[in-house]
Amino acid sequence: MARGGPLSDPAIVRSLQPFVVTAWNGDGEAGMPAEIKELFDRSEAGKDPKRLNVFMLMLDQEGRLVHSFHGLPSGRRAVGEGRSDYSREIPKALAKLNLPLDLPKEGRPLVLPDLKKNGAGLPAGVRMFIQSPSKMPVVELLAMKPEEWAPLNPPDKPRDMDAALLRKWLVQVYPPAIRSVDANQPFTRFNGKLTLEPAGADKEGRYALLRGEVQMGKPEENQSSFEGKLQAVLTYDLGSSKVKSVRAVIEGEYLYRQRNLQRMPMVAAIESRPE
Amino acid sequence: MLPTKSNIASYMLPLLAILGTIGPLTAREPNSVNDQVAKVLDRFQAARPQAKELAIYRLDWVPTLQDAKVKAANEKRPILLVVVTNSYGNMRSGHC
Repeated sequence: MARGGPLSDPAIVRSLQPFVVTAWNGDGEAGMPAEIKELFDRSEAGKDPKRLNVFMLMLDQEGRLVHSFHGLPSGRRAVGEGRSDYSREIPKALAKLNLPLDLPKEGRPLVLPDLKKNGAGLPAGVRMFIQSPSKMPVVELLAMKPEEWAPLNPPDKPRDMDAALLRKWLVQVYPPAIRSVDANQPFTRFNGKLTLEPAGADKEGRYALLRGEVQMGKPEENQSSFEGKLQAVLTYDLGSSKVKSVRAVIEGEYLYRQRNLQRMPMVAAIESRPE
Repeated sequence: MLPTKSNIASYMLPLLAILGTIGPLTAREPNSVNDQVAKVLDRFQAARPQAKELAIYRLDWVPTLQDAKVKAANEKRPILLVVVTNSYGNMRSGHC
C-alpha cells in the first residue's frame, strides 16, 4: 500500500529528495534489530494503539528520531486509525529538520538496482521486472555465476534444455502483496522444456532464441503455482562462446491458492546487467 | 567411357558452376537474422515498465540502516526509515 501508493507518487517522491531512504521488513515487532526497535518504541506511530504494520521514521543526519507517522496512506479514510496523510506529515518533518519546504523542480534521477562488471566476460547477472495487474512492478537483481550462464552458450543447432536450469529466474515470478505464508514458500519444482536455437548473425554478433513452456510449483499440490511460457533473445560476440546479453519475457498465470483458486496474470521482463 | 582430362573437364566445369550457385543459398548471409528475434525484443520492450511506473527508484535507497547512517553523516542529510512489521519481504524490490 505504501510502495504502490505514496512512495510511487511523483510529488511525494520529490518531497523526500533530501532523505537517504532505507527499509526494514520483518514478521512482527519482536523480530526487530535492537537499534530499529529502540527507534520504533520511542516513535509516536509505534506507540499508537491503532497502529497497523507500516511506519515512517524520520531521523536526523546523526540517526536521532525526529518525526514519525503511519506508513499506510489515509486516502479517503479519515486520518487516524493507523493511517497518515503524507502531504501533511513530510512538511512537518522537514520543518523539524530545518530543511526548506521548497525543493528543486528536478527530482533525483531514476536509479534502478544494478550490478557491477565482474571481469568474467559475461554479464554479472540479470535484472527482472515482475508485474501483475494493478500492482507496482517488482524489481529483482540476480547475480549469476559463469556456470549458470553455461547452459545458454551459443547453439550450433537447436537443442532442448530443462527449464529447471533457469530456476534462479523462475523462482522470482510471483506477485507482490500476497499472503506471507504464500510468499514465504518459494517454488521448489521447476518443469518445462525449452528449445535454444541459432537465430542468425549480423555484424553485431550472433543471436539465439530460447523458447518454451514453464511450470513452477511448491512442495504441496494444494499450494500456489505458475504456468506460462518463456521467450528470450541471446546475443554473442562473433567468435565468442559466451553470452553477451539476454532479453527475455516470461508470461503466464500465478495460480494463487488460498481458500479458493485465483488466477493472476503475470509478466516478467528480464535483462542482463551490466551492459 | 574412362575418364580423361578432356571429358573430366566437360562434366566437372558444369558441376562446379552448379555448386557455386548452391553454396550462397545454404550459408546464412552476414546480415540474416531470424525475424522472430525482433518479435521477442518487441515483446520484451512492451513488458518492461516505463519510467513513470518506477518512480519509487527516484528515492535515494541504501540497503540497511547502518548504510543510511554512514551516508547521512557524510552528506549531512536526514534518513527515512520505513519499517514494515507484517512480512519478511523487501520494500525496495517490491516483493513484500
